[in-house]
Amino acid sequence: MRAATYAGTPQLYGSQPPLALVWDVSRAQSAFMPNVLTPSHGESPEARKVGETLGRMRQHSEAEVSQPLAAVGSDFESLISGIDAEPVQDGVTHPAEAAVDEFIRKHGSWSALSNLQALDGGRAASLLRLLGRSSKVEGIARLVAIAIGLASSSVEVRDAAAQAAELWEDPASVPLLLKHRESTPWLAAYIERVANMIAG
Amino acid sequence: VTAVFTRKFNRAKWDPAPDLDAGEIAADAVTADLRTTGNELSFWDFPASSEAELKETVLALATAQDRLDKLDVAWIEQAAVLTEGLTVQPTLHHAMTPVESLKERHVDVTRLDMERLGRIAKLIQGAVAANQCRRFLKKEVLAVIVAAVQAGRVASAALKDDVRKAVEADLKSSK
Repeated sequence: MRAATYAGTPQLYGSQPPLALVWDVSRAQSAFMPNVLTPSHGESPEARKVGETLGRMRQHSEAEVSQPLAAVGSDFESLISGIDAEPVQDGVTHPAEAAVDEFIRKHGSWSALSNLQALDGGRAASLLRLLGRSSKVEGIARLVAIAIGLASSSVEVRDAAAQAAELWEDPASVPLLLKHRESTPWLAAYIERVANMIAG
Repeated sequence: VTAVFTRKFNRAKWDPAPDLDAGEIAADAVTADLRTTGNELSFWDFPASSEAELKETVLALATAQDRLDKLDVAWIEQAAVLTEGLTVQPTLHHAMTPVESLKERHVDVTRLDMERLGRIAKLIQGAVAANQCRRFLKKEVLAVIVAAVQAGRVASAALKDDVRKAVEADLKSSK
């Protein structure tokens, strides 16, 4: 159940997730699973993959988590220092964008996503926005990033998740966006517009 | 019709912060969105806040940017700025936009200290609360720039690489 759990996406999930992500993903799964996988709305292969991934991740107990945060800790701290140097602004290249790509190249998308939970809302939002700008985040990792971000209690992080979805324009993210129940009206309107834009 | 000053901002940072009391402005919002240069803060001067004028703000801002993203624009009433005793000066030379016709729209609120910057933050906070803000999707931003290029208001060569490539790709695909 350990390594085999991620056998379907070994290129992205070559290592076990830290416990922090298990908790976060549990929330994401709670938020999305019942809706995303409702047959009446269609069950795309991508949505099914996200659901399966989140579900499998949720099954992990603390004992099953083998990779501690410390494994990428110093690199992650450096990345966050770079992000802290400047606010992430629309239309402006951030000096940490290259560092984000390098972190993903070295540790994988999974490590970047798993450490989101360890950050406060502002930093998590900044990282998620920069992940949205990265072409290194691919496939199901994008959907998991959006799902985790939208499940956050921080409006800034949920907004960042929607922005990442807007930049990636992945049709597979539309069910996630449409089924999200957003409590902040302006953000709900944005998420709906992004979903409609992607759906064409 | 109310004359306004418009400015780019980050909508999410101006939502009430859970760790602050009601009505308090998050320092993160100020440090991220109200970054001054030479104790001045940049705005765009428009006679109204119609969709057309907001798109002109988007055009002024996005044509100077490195990349295409969604864009949040807020507007504050000019009368309120003057009531607060803030000093506003036209500053064409600070306008970064390559759109010549918009440079004259650029103004700076000048002589800012902490207290006066706080007044601006209050005005922005009030504007957000009154829904005096608009989010343009990335594709809407692109459409605004493409229309300006097609109208000859700005040359695609004047845009930064990523923006220029996106504009030229859009123009090519629409032929």
